Amino acid sequence: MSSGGAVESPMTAPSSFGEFWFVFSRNRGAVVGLAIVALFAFLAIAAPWIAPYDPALISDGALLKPPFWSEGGEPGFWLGTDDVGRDLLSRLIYGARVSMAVGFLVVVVSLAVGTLLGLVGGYAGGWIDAVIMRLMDILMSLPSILLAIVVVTVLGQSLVNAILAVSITVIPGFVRLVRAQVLVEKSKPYVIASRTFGAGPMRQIFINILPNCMAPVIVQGTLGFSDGILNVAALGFLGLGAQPPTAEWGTMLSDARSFIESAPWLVTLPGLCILILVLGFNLLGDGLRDALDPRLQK
Amino acid sequence: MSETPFLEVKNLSKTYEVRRLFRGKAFVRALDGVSFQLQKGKTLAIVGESGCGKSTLAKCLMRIEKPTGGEIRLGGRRLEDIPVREWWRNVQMIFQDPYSSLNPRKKVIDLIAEPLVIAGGFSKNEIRVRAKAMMAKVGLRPEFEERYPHMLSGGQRQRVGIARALILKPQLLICDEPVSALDISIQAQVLNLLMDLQDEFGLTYLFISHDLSLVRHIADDVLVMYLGQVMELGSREKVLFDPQHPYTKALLASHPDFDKALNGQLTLEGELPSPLNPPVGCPFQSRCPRVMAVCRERRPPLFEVKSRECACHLYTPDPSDSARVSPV
Repeated sequence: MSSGGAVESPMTAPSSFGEFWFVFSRNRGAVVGLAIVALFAFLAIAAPWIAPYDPALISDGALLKPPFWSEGGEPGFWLGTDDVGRDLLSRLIYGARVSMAVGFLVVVVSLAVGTLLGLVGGYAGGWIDAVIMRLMDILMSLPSILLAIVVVTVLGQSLVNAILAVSITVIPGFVRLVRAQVLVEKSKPYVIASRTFGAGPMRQIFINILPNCMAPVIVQGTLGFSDGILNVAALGFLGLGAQPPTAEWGTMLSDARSFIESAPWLVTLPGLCILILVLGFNLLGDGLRDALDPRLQK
Repeated sequence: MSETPFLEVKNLSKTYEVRRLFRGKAFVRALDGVSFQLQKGKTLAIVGESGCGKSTLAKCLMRIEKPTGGEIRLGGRRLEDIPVREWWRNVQMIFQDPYSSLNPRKKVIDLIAEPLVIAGGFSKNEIRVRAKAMMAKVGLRPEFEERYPHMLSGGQRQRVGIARALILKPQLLICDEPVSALDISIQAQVLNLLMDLQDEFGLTYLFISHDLSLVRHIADDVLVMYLGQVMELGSREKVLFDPQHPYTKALLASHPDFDKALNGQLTLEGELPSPLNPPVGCPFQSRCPRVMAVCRERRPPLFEVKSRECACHLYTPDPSDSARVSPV
């Protein structure tokens, strides 16, 4: 394995965690990404304890208060209040909850379905593969947000349906990735050897092939997080995702857009949250890819 | 040769269909009428350049590929009459590349135990005991049990491959260039291991190789292949030390260990012709130093020459009459 470029197997040898961390931690962007994701994950989990107010609590005397550092800000509302007097900081913290959950669910659903379809298509080949791949081509040929809008319109407007819709648009990426990986792995001698011991398709797919395909899937999953968050926020902005009064960043943006001049913090802050969290996941995904793929290592 | 041979291959053919854009189909004859017999406990070496069909033969015998013609018999029974799982309990294979033939995510002990796990009917404990015993047999120390393939050297990996192939106690072992990926010093160790195991378990070997000095060491019989066809087949002494076919002579002449008298007389030039459109007549005609007119017209049959079989018009009693002599 020491012969450098001549090694054709893209396998990640089951390296110890320490080895992985060594490569990962040298990538500054990846560490920043991990920190951002960890911070938001903490906010999401600890929301009820750290948020100063209930996100739906309306304070009559404090409408459109600016953040504390600008003129007219009240110390009680650190990041100000919205047009009906709800504390923006609390809503943002609870919004992290929604976005993390959305990202997680989108990835879980699309990864599970996509991996399964990719495994079946890649291993079975023939018409099964053709049918699956043509379906995925159709899904991919439609702009993802448009497709999501169609799905939500059919199923009805709710956060759950938005998650489902976005998951569907993310599936083809996983299917293609896994299928390509399976095609590489299934012709390798270790799979053929296993067949000559009598291994059936179930064993081949799930015990032999799948574990050797996981590295790129993990990376794609991390990137899928950001896709999911972004698209569900977009649906929320269009009024097709989370419905008020749920504190969801996209919905908050949309609610606040009429105040973009009078109360700019109401659009700026949720927008920044989306930007930073998505950036965090992308940095993390890139870092994981570099650390998991031995071909990119110097 | 009167008793039933353990492995009998008759007129085996494998043709691959190649679809080409706009030009219709083409056929690649990877194996073309290959016949041989192998007695129990013996070693037959298949020799030839890369691309001559050696590995296709191994795949057909492992039932990874389906032959398109001919017959394979194991212990007198036709391949078609033996269920594939039973076949695999009797016939196993060692792969050429000890790197890609081991699942990188499994520990050594699990790799060796895999055939037993799949076969079923063994308790967990029994599987472990057997796998450990097999590790000892192939010279892997117990501390390797919990290691992953990437922590092993090439020789150690190939020992894992051998242990895995032998754990179901097969009778026939197909060795597809088992040592060609290893360092020379390790090659001898693995080869000696294979020979020791053959004595201990009474194994029959089909040893595929392009390395003539290895073949001289291990083989009882030698089969020389060219472009999917048998050129010369006979005992080691006859084929390696008194070659008759010009191709065998050329192969040996290119090897420093063999008959010095052959050196310089014959050299192989050029490459194998494309198997997509093999020449009419003898497959070796394009490179043969002793090519005759008849070689371009008719394919020479296998014919007995000096107690071995040889397919060359030089030895056909009456070349114009060759169509009458049917291949064995």
